[in-house]
Order: sequence, then structure tokens, then C-alpha cells
Amino acid sequence: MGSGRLKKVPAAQLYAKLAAGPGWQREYEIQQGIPVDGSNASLRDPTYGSPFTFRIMPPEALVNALTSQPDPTAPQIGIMGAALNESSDFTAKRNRVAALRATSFVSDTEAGLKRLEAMIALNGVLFDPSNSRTSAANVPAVSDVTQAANVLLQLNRALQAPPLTLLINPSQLNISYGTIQNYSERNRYGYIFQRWGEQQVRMTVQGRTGAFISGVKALTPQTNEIQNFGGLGAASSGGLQATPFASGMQFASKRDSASWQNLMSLFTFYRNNGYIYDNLEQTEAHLFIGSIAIDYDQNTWIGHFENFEWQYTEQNQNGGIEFSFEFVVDISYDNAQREFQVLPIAAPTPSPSDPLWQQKRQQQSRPEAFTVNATVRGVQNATTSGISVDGANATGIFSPFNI
Amino acid sequence: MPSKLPVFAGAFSSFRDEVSGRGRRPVVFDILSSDGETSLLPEDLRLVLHVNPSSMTMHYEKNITRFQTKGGWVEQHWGDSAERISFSAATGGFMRLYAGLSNKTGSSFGGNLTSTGGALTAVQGRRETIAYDKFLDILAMFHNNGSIYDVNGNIVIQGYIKVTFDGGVYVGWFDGDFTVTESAEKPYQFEISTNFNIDREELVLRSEIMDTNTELFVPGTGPFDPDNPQFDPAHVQTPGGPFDSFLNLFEEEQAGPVFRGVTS
Repeated sequence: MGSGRLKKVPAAQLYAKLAAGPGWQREYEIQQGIPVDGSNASLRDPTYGSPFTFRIMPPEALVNALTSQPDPTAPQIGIMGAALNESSDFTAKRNRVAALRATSFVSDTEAGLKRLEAMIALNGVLFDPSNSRTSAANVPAVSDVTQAANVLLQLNRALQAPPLTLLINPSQLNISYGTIQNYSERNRYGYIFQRWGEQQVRMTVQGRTGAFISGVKALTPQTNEIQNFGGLGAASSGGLQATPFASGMQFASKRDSASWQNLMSLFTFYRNNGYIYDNLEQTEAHLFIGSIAIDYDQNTWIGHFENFEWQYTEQNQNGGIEFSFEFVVDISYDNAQREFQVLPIAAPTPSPSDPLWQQKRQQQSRPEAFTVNATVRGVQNATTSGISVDGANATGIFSPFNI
Repeated sequence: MPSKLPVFAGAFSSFRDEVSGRGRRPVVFDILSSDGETSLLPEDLRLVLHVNPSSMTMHYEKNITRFQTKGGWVEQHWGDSAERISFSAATGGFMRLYAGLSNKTGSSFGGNLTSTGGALTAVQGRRETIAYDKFLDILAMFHNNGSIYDVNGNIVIQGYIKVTFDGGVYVGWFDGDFTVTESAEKPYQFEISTNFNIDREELVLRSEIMDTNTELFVPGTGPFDPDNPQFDPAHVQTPGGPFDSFLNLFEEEQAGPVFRGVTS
């Protein structure tokens, strides 16, 4: 034990406003005990540990629509960069979300969002023809202003939700990469290889929560004793050391415990899955699709939960709930280094259309020698073998217009 | 001093044990009418098993279609698939007074007669145990499954089964098989497994008090992290600021999509 002080655990209510779809309702009681996290917090320190973190990524369509003024200082997303999953591409994504936060579409006060909630609750009937705010232009996308306000509110709540870090890392992380190819059809010359690319990456995660532990909040500074709960009297006056709520490590402490609340927060992320729900009509027709990001080991995987399971068992009476989920990745980023796995094959001769050659031309300051045997109509137009050329010369010489 | 405690008792004295302050959490079964709210059972009657299920596994799945195109993978999100709970349970030991654990099946409790019409000597068997009774109760609930039958045995109204456990309420129906296993390796009890389809789920969670204006909306003091909900100090708003002005416009706008032309 360190100093003996309990580590502050984020309040479970942080995710109370995240939309979770029809069929699942939740409410939050204010607990009297305090959630106790018995795990080692240093293991999930962002710098010195290995945190396993989830974030909600707002729908790209909304981010693009609401940040109509692109930040000129933001990194440009290039096709090659996107293909290479460069970290700069991911940084650009994050910067666009940050830019969205700075717009007037996003509130930084709860009062503003309460006002928006009230507007949704009181603003009338969905898709009422007499609703003057319903315009023909936006009917196909959002049926009226109330639904638009609903989208905006959920977007605000998604942006508001802080990242969720598991108190205890998963016990098993399985990342599966799969090909889509066939090598079973045969002709007279043998087997034919057919390839159509790769499957989406699938992550299978298994984990276990900590024990159900909750503590007692009120210690009098003078006597360091439990205060008088429910008229039982303090210990110093002969009263019983009892509280009207469960504490310590036992199943009854489950709902007050940090481990259960952490699991339910993760379950809330599963239910949300980055979706913008139709909360007004409670349908399963989602209005927009965002995504979930998992950060671990300097990687970021953006995708969606596929399923989620957890289990009460008699073997784990006091906690240690086992859970598992699958996560299908849309796109992943290695934030530690650039990847060059999908680079195109280098052209045998320098070519302006060859990105490797272009990269070399841009990055190397020393003179370079190239051999070009380009011919047009049978006439050899340029031979630079053995001749030192710099980038400017090369651009001129190898410009398609010169060859 | 003779004890008034029952010789044999279940793990729970009542379906209200959760609020007894003794730290007990029974799994409670109820039958609801077709409105999904009103219990069809008498006020003080709910089914609590002799012992809680040995495991309850919650299965959730998203309904997502994925297909490959020339432009990459396309995902279609259709919401949640059917959700279910898998129950595994043991009945608890078939134990009764003076006989202890019993696997006798030829019981005579209640004055059964022999094949010749004479009174059968009392043979205390497993049918007259609390555990067996509770097993029959849960089996009856599986058969009922929230249905109201007419005199011909046709279902006229379909209600729900409600399962409550420690802050979680699951409303739905038993589904698939209800399997009862009696094995030599585990005598004097049955093992049960069944599935339950969740139509509606309600969770009562707990949290410490959170000040939304300080824990969610904290003006950043350090380097700005775009992934952190703390806002960039450069964009800290105050009531009556840009978002409120935007809402004013939102409320007052009478025609046309308000998203257009409104920027920070």
C-alpha cells in the first residue's frame, strides 16, 4: 500500500447521458459508499503503463458537415497517407474533432445542453406538417428541427464523454487478420490462386473485473471513526460500527464498487457503439453512424463492437466478472511509427508517377543519378546516366511534358 | 430453548431479501401482463429459487452487415440482435426431515394408496422437498412464459416474464429448451439450463455525485488534448455565448435547415 489514500475513480455518471438505444434503460442512484479500486493505477498510466482505453468517435458525416470551414493549419489528408494509415492522418482526424468542439454547435456548459434537452422535450410533434420548422429540404435527412436537435444533443454528449480506461487490462487480446483468397480451384496446369484482399481486422477481447469493494466515505477527522449512521452511534460512544449500506468486499457491494461501474461503463460504450440513435421514435433506424476507438500499445483501432458477453458465476461471488467482446476494425493506426506495408511496387525506372521516386527526390538533398531510357516514337529523348542532377533538374528532365 | 428456525430453508426467506440489509441478492421471477408493467401474481408472491442460479451469462450482439466493394468494406448497422441470458442452475439438495438427502421416488406423502388400495407406509422421498418444489415452480413458470390461456388451451393474451437481480430488470420470455439433468455424478439434485430472451432491460446503476459543470466541462489548464473532454481554454464559452446564440437561432429559425451558414 502506498500512502493509504484511495485513488479517485471517475464517477460512473460520466457516461449517463450517452445514448444507448431502445430496449435498454438505465438510471443512476447516488451511492452512499465510495467505489474502491484495488488495482494498481500505475499500470494504466499513459506514460509509464499500458492503458487500454476506449473513446467515442463522432460520425464523420457530422464532423464534416459542421466543420465547413477547414482549419488551414490542419495537416492535409493525402490519398497515400490514408492508404498508409499514417499517424498524421489520425492526427488530422483528431484535429477535426477538436475543431468541431470549438464551433457554436458544441456547448461547454451543462446549462446549454439542458436547454437543448428541454427543446427536444417541448418542441412539439415529430414530423408535424404544421410544424413551420419542417422544411422540404431537410425532410429526407432529419424529419424536422426536433430530430435535428436530437442529433445535435447526442453529438454533444458523445463529444462530452471522456475516454474510458479499463481499471484492469484485458486478460487476453486476440487480433485476427484474415485473407480473402482462394487456392482450391484447379485446371490442367494446377491450382489457381485468386485473391480479393483482406478481411476486416477482428479483435477478440477477454477480461475480468476486479473485486466488488466499496468503502465508507465519512470518517471524522478528529477520531477517524465512522460517523453516526442511522442513529447507531459512533464506536467511541458504544454504538455499532454499522452502515445502512453494503461495504467491504462482498457481492452486496457490487453496485457501489469501482469494478462493476467500470464494467457497466464499458457496456454503455458497447450499447452506444458510436451511433446517433433515433431517440424520439425509439426505432433501430440509426440517424448517423460514428465509431469507437480503442487505444492500446500506441495503436488506435477504430471500429465497432460486434458483441458483448459477461457472466455471473458462483465461482466468482465477490467480483471477478468475466467478460468478452469482439470488435471489428474499420481502420487502424500505428501511432508509434509510419507503416510501409502497402507501398506500391517501385517502378524499375524513375517515373514521376512512382511515389517512391518522388519521395526520394523530395527527401534527398544530395545529387542523384538516374538512368532513363524513355523513348517517344522510337527516339531516345533523355539519358542522364552518370549525370548528377538535383531535384529541380530532375523535375524538369523527368517531367512528362519533356519526355 | 427450542429454536423456531426452520430445519430446512432455502437460501432466501423472501423475494424482498435484497432490502433486508443482510447482503442477500435473490434472482426473482415474476409474470407480467401484456402491458409489460403490471404483475399478474399476487402482491406478496414472486418466485425465488431454492438457491440462485449457478451462472447467468448475458449475451449481446449487434446486427451488422458487412460486404466488400471495390471501394473497400461497407458496413450496414441495423441495431441490436436478439439478446438473451443463459441460465445454469442447480435445484439444491433434495433433503427432508428424518430422511436427509433422498433420491427415493416412491413417496406416499399425502395418503397415496397402494395398488391394492391399502395405505402406503410413509416413504419419505424427494418429491416432498423444498428443492423439488422450487424446481417444479420454475418449470411451471417456463411452461407459462407469460401466456394467458383460454379453456381450450389456446393462448389469448401474451404477457412477459420479468427477472430481477441486484439492480437489473430483464423483461422477456424463456426461449428454447429447458433442460433438466439428473446424473449419477451429482445425485440428490437436478441441474437445469435454459435461455431467456431479453425484450427490455433496465439497470439501476450507482454513482458518486458528479458536478457536470466541473467534471465534464473543465476549462483546460494544461496542453490541449483533443481527446480529452476538457475544453481548449481558447474556446471556453460562458452562458450566453456562441452555443446559446446558436440555440436562439435554432429556436427562432422558421424555415430552412438551420445547420447551413452557422459557424463559429
